[in-house]
Amino acid sequence: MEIINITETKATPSIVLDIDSGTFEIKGCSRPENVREFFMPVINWFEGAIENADTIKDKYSNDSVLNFDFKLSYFNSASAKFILDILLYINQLHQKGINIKINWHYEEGDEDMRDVGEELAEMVDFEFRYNVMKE
Amino acid sequence: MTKNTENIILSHSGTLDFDRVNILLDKLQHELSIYSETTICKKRIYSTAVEALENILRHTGQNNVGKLPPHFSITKKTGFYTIESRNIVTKTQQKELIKKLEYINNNSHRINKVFAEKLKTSHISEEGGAGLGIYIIGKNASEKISYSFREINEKQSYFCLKIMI
Repeated sequence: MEIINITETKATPSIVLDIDSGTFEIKGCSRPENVREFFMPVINWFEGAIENADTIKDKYSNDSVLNFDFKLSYFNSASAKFILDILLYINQLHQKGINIKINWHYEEGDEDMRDVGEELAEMVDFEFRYNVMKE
Repeated sequence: MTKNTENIILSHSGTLDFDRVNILLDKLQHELSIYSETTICKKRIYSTAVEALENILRHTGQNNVGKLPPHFSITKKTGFYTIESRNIVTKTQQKELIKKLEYINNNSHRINKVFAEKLKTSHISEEGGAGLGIYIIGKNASEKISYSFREINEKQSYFCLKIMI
């Protein structure tokens, strides 16, 4: 599968999606000028991953874990919609037998970001692991 | 600083574009770094500012601003931060806003659940919004959201929003 590697800007997060290296990370601030244009390659990548779920499963099952790391300092309301969509895709991959963990990182003292993580986890029916990012 | 002093942290009047919003948010982050507030307080102010500015940004192009340009400000007084935004809206937008704001104010005790419900059912509009910004503002607000509409003509009003954090 193709690799997604988006560089971080002031208004958009870095995104790395790489099956071969097992790197899945969204990091930074998300308030893109055009939210649909920004997230569409990511959504398309996940649709491809669902189609290739059997191949991914061969690599990540049993002891081998595919970690998805969310390290967002901030995301706006429009980004929230796409983050929920991404989490729903991750859950679909998990339901296809791929061993997945979702790691929700939040800045020290930002309990709102942890709460949002808990709300999203409930919405997608997937238990997250929480980690405090220290400056 | 005496207790009743009002500190203007950020103030802008005039039309906005994405670059101008970036400049204002950079300035806000710099200003907030000076204040010894908790991380959560600073994040709520920033989040509210983003949603309020993006709301102005989305509606600026749709309405002729005339003598009532968009306005945005953040002030600090007696332990509260007040975020105010003003922009022209259509009468249709006014009706939708009243419905949403009343719902948020009447459900402030369960605002996180309200936001979750809306997030699940929302869609991204042609303007690039999900209509969720006002619910995020509701989550961040410490008091009920104050708002008013000043009639301009039979089609438009000047929408004034006031949020306390």
